[in-house]
Amino acid sequence: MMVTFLSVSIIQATISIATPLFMGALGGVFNERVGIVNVGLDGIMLSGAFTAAITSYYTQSAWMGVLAALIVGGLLGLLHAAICVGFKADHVVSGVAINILASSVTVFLLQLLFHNKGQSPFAPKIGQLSNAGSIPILGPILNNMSYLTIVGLALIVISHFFLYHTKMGLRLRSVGENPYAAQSLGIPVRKYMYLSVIAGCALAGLAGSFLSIGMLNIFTKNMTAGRGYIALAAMILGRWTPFGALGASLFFGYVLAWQMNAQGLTIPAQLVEIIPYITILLVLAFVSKRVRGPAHDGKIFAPSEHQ
Amino acid sequence: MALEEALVIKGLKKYFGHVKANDGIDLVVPIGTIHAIVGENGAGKSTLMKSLFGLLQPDSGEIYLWGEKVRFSSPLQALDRGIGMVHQHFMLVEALSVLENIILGAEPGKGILLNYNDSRKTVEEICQKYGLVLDLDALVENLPVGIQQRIEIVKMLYRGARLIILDEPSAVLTPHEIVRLFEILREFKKDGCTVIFITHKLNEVMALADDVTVIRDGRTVGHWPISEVNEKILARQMVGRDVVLDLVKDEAQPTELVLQVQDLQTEQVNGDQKAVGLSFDIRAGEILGIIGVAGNGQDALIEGILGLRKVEKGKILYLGENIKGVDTSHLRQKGMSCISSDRLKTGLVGEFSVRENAILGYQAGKEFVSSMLFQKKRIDQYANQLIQKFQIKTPSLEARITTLSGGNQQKLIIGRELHANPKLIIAVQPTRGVDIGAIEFIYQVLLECRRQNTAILLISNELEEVLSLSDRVSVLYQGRFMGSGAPNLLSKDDIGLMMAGIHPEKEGEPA
Amino acid sequence: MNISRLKFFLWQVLPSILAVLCALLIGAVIILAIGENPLQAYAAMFQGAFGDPSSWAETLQRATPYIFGGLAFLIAARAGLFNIGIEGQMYVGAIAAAIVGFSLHHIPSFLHVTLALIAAAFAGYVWSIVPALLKVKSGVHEVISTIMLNYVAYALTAYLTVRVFHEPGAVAQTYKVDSSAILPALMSPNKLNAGFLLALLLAIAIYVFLFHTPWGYNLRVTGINPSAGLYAGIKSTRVVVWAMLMSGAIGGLMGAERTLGIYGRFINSFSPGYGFTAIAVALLGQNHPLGIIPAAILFGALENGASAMSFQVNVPRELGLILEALIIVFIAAEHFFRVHLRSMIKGDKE
Repeated sequence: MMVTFLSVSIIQATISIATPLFMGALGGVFNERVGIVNVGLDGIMLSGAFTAAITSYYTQSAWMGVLAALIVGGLLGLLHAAICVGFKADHVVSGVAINILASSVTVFLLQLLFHNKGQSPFAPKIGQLSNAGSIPILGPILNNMSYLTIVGLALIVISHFFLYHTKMGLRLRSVGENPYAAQSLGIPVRKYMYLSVIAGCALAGLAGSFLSIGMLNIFTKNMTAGRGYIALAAMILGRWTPFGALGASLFFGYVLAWQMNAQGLTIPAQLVEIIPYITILLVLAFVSKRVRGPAHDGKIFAPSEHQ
Repeated sequence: MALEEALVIKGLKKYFGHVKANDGIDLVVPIGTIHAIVGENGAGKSTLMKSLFGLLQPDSGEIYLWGEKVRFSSPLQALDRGIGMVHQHFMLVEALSVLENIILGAEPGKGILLNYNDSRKTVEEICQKYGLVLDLDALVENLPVGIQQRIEIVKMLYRGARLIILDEPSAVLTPHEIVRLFEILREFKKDGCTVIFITHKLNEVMALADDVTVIRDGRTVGHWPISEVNEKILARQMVGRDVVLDLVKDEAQPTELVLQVQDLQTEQVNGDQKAVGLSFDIRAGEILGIIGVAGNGQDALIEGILGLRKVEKGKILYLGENIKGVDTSHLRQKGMSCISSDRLKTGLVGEFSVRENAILGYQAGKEFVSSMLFQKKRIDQYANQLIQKFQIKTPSLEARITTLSGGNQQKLIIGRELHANPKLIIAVQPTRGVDIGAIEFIYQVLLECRRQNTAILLISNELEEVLSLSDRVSVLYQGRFMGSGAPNLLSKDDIGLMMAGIHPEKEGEPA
Repeated sequence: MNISRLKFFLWQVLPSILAVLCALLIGAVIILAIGENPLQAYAAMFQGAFGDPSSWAETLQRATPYIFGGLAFLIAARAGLFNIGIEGQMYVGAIAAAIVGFSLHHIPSFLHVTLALIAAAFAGYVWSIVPALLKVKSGVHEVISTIMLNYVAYALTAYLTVRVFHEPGAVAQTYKVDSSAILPALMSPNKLNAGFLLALLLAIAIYVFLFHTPWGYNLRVTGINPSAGLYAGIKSTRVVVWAMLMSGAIGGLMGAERTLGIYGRFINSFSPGYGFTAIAVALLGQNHPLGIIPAAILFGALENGASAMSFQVNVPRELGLILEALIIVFIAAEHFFRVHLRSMIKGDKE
C-alpha cells in the first residue's frame, strides 16, 4: 500500500484535527501575552469537552454545549488567574493542579451522572457545512467543515486585529512584556491579566467542545490525550501570534492526519503513533533557541517587591 | 495670589510591617525650580516617590499638588494631574518601538483603534521643542541607556507633565550624557516646569539644584537653598555624622605578575557588548581600576577571566598559566575570587541562609567537607568568624540572606571571597547600593588586601571610587580600552570623554 | 529540637496542613451536594485507610509509587526543572524490569531483583537524556518535551507488549517474570512489598544528599540561582542534565516496583496516572524528601479510604482523586497562606 501525502481527505482531516489545536493555541496566546504560562490548557480543554457534551445531552442543543464550555473554560481561567496573579503562585504548579482537577472531576461526574467511568451518552453535535462541494477548488475542502472551525478561524482574524490594531491590544501586549512599565502608565495590569487569562481559557474550553461535539458526538475519559500540550507547542512555534498559532497547528494537524492515514501500513500502529510527538520535539528543538516569548512570561507580578 | 508651590508634603508616613520606610517626610517645592532630594540608600527616597506617584498609599500625612490636597490611588491620577516620573530602572517595554512606548496608555483618538500618525506628529513636536533626537521606529531593546532615558522623559512630556521627578537619573549615564541631561532639565525650568531629582551624588546637587532636601532614616532632616550648603554639610546631614572618606593610601609595591590579558576577545551573550581586544596586566599588591559605563563589556571581561564565557581570541595568563577553557571552580581553588556587582543575582542565593551563603564557591573545599559530608561544626565556626571579623549584622546563621541589609550582604560576600587569601580579587562595583559606613569599611578592606600583596581588578562606573582606590586606571568603552594611565595623570574631564567614546586629543569625534 | 527550630518547622508544614483541611472542607460540600453525610463518609474513609493492619498495608502499598514519584519530581524540581514526564519514565522502567524479570533464569533472587531494578533505573535514565539535552542545548522547556516523551513511552511500551512480548490474556500484557525476580511481600496477602522499604531508604539517602553534601548543595544553588552558581564555579548545565537523569532513574524504579512487586509482569497502561499524582505529592511534601513520605501516605490513604467508602455510602471513589486535586490547588496558593497567615497571626506586633 502506498503512503499518500496529499489528498482532499488528508486536507479535511488536517483542518479538523488542527481546529482544537489552533483554538487552544490561541487561548495560550491570550494567557502568555499577559505573562501567564498555562500548562493547564489540556485540563481546561478536557473540562470544556466534558461540559459541552453533557450540556448538549441535557439540553439537546449543541450550541448550548458550546456556550457552557466557554463558561467553564472562563471559570477555570478565573481560578488560574486568581492563583497566579492574586496568590502570586507558580504558574506551572497551578496549571498542573488544574489538569489533575479536570481529569478527576470529569471521571467523578461521569460516574455520578451516568454510572459509567469511560464515556458520556451520545449528544447532539455541531452542524457542518453542506453543499459546499459546488464551490470551485475550495469546495471539496470546505464540504463537511464544522461550523465551529469557521468560528475558530474567524477568532484568529479577530484576535490578530485586536492585538495589533487596537489600543487595548497594545496595552495587553505591554503587560506581558513589562507589567511594571504598564502599571507606571496607569494601565490596570491585574485587570488585563485576569481578563486575558479568562478569555484565553474560555477559548481552550471552546477547543474542548470541538473535541466532544464538533468532531464526535460523545465525551470519553481523558479524550484530550495531550492536545493541550500540543497546542502549547503550536503557540511557541507560532511565536505567540494568532496567525503563527494557526500555521503551526495546521502543520501539527497535517502530521497527525498523515499518521492516521498511515495506520494501515505494515509498520505497527503503535510505532506510527510516535511520529507526531517526535516531529513536535524535533521542531521545537530547532526553533526554541530562536524564538522568544513575552519578556515577563511565567514570572510573578509583585510590584511591592520589585525594585 | 499667584500659586507658588508645585508640591507640598507634610508629615508623610509609610510603614511596611515594622519597617518605617517613611516616618515623617516634609517637602516644599516652589514652581519653576529644580529641587534635589538626597539621602543614603534605604533612607526612604524611593518610597516617598512611589507614594507621590500613586504606586503606594501612604499611611498618614498630606500631599498638596498645585495647591490642592491630593491622594492618588493609581499612577494614572498622578499623570492626569501633571506629575511625570522617570524611574531609576526604566519603565520601558523593550519589545515595542519608541513611539509605542511613548504613547502607551495615552494613545490618541477617541475610538478603540490605534492611530500612529497623529501621535507621531505630537511626539516629533515635543522632541523638536527641547532638541531631543529620537528614532521613533527603533525598538527600545536596541537602544543605549542614555537614549532610553530620553524616551522616558519624552513619555512624560507627551502626557503633559509639568512636574517631572527623576530617580537617580545619572546612575547609568556617562559624564558627558549627564551634562546633556542637566542642560535639558534647565531647559524645562526655563519653560516653567518643576523638576525634582533624587540622588546620592552630592556634586550633582551642587551643580544643578536650586534647593535641596535631605532625608535620613525615613525623615526629613532639613532643606536649604543651594547657596547655603556645600557637599560637606550635605554629607554630614545625610549620614548623621562627619564623613571621612580620606583614604590613607601608601605607595603601591607591585611584585610578581598575577594576571596577564592579551588581546582578549570574548563571545557575545544575549546581544551584550563583548570584549574586543583587551590587553592589560596586574601585579600582586596593586589595584587596576577599570572605569566605564555599565554595558560596555564589563561582563564579558569578568566572565572571560572567570572562565564563564568563551574566549574567541587572545590569551589570559593567570599566575603564568594559560587559563583558556579552565573551569571556574579550578580557578577559585587557585586563589581567584570575585566580588560580583549584582549581589542577589551573582553573589548570593536569595533563598539560602547566611550559613549556606557563607560557603558559596567554597562548598566543596576540604575545610568544610570530610568523607563526602558537610561538617556543620566547622562551617559554623567559620561563619561566626566571618560575622565577627566583618561586622555583619545578622539575627542568626539560619536567617535568610535577604533579611539582611544590602551593606551586610555585601560584607558577607567580601568576607567570603577574601577568607581563603586570594591571589586575585575581581571587585565589581563593590560599593553599589551600600551606605556610607559600609563603603568606608569596604575601601579599607580592599586597601588592606593590596598591602597584603593581593592583586585587585576593580571594575566600576563610579569615577571617584576608581580614582581614589586605583594605582592605574583604564577606560572601557564598547569592549575596548580608550586610554590608560595613573589616576593623578588623567583628568576627570578626559576620563569622562573617553567613557563616552571620544579621544580627548581629537575632541568631538566619536571613536 | 529547640523552640526556634520547632517554630520554623511548623511554618514549613502549616501551609500543607491547611491545604489538606481546605480540600477536605470542599470535599464535604461535594458530599453534601450528592446528598450524603460528610462525617459518615469521612469516617468510612478513615476506617478504610487506617482501620486495621490490612488497611494500613493497602494504604502503604498505594503510597509506594508516590514516594518514588515524589522523589523523582523533587530531585528535578530542586534543580529548577519541572519534570512532568515521570509517567513515561515509569513506563519504560516498568517494562525494562519486566524484560529482565522474564529473560533471566536460574539466578539467585537477590541478584535477579537487583539486576531488574538496575535495568529499570537505567531505562528511566536513558529516557530523560532527551529532555535534559533539549533543555540545555536548545532551550526546549522540559514541560513540553517530557509530555511528548510520555506519549512516545505509552506507544513504545504498547508496541512491545502487544507485538513483541505478548502473552495472551484479558488485557495486553507481557510474560510473567520469574519468581526469583519478585520483590518479597511484607504483609501477604497484601501486595505491599520490599519496594516500600526501598522507597523509604531512597528518601533518606536523597535527604542526606541534598542537605549534607556539596553535590546536593550545588543542585539546590542551580535550582534557585544558577548565575550565582556559575560565579561560584558550579556548572549549571551539568547539574541540570544530571538532576534530570537522576529524576528519570528514580522514575524507572517507580515502575519496577509495580512490575516486580504488584503485577509480576508489565501490563499495558497499568498506571492510573501515578506519575502526575506524584507531582502533587511532591508539592504537598514541600519538595522535601522527608516531607514526601507523609504526603504519599496521605494520598495512599485518600485513595484506599475512598474506595472503601464507596462501598458504604453512595459517593463515587473518585472523590479521593478530587481531594488530591483540590489539595494541590490549595498548595499552589501556598504563598498566599504564608504571607497572609503571618500577617494575621503576627499582626503589627513587631
